[in-house]
Amino acid sequence: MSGVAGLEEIVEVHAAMVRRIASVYERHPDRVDDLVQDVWIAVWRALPRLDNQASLKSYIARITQNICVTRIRRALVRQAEPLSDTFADPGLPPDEASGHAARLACLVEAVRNLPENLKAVASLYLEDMQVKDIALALGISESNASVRLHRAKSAIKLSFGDQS
Amino acid sequence: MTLPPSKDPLVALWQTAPKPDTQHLLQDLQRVNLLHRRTSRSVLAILWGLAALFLFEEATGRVGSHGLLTVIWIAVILGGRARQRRARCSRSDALSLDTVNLLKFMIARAKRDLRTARSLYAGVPLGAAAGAVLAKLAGIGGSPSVHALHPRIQMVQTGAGVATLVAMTVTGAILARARSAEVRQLSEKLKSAEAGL
Repeated sequence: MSGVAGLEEIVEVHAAMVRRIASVYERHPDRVDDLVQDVWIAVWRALPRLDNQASLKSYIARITQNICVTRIRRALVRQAEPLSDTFADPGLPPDEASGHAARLACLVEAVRNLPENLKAVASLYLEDMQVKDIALALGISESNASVRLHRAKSAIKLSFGDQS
Repeated sequence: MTLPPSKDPLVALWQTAPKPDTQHLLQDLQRVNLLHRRTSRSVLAILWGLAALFLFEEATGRVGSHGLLTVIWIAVILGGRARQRRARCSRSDALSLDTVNLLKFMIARAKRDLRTARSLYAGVPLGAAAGAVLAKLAGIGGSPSVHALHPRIQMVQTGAGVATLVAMTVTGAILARARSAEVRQLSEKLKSAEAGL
């Protein structure tokens, strides 16, 4: 699968995942957009070399993770906080939406506040990836990934409980 | 493609985040890709245009460099192009490596770039000074026609040489600063990624 048509289909399915992972690493919406764009350009260029469509989700998650982790902050002056986060959900009724958006924002904040080594594991786990795939993507052993995941989940639950 | 909801409530909650506007994203991607392609082609056209100019100058005999300048210029373009193609083919980066190995690869590349930048900002002026001293000591000068040049032209030549040196030094210093920061940040990230349990 290659070209714009193939990419369109893949973007449609995985765009939300890429954006969620990018949002863990960058708070400002413009920076998230930049990251997302970098990821999709990398995926687009990689499409002709992609053999196994079944592992596409893991592949894209790994590319996203790699690009987010290795991104270098060049413009340190642009560190102003955004006025609104990227996780507001206007699709729900006002009461539900505010409750849901608040819980989601708490979760995102909890993941963002994790140390780097736990953040990577947590963001991939929240994308419903198996420990084996997480270990493979990050280049760590499965047991290491399991322990990190356990710690990340404890930290998220603790932080989530404190904020909600 | 709809994925079954996860049993973990945190995962389920996480995946309820609103979907981004993919249409806008695709348009952006196409625009970026087009811009990238146009820029590459423009740079290549300028480089080959200069090569053609050098060839023309050599062919008409207006430049007395015995073809050396032209050969060096074309060799640099071809070398750069080959390197770019090889880098694209054996792209061992975010697409094929895991995070830890990618960080190691990026640190090695940043260190290599740092060395190049340092040789630009330190090596170029030192090399130029050493060359000038050696030329003076060995009594090597320009060709006889150089002495026949108008003093104003000689001054312009010297000024252009000094300006090039300064530009190379400044470029090297800026590059070195950026690469040094990159090495530092990547090393911190690697340390964090490999943090023991």
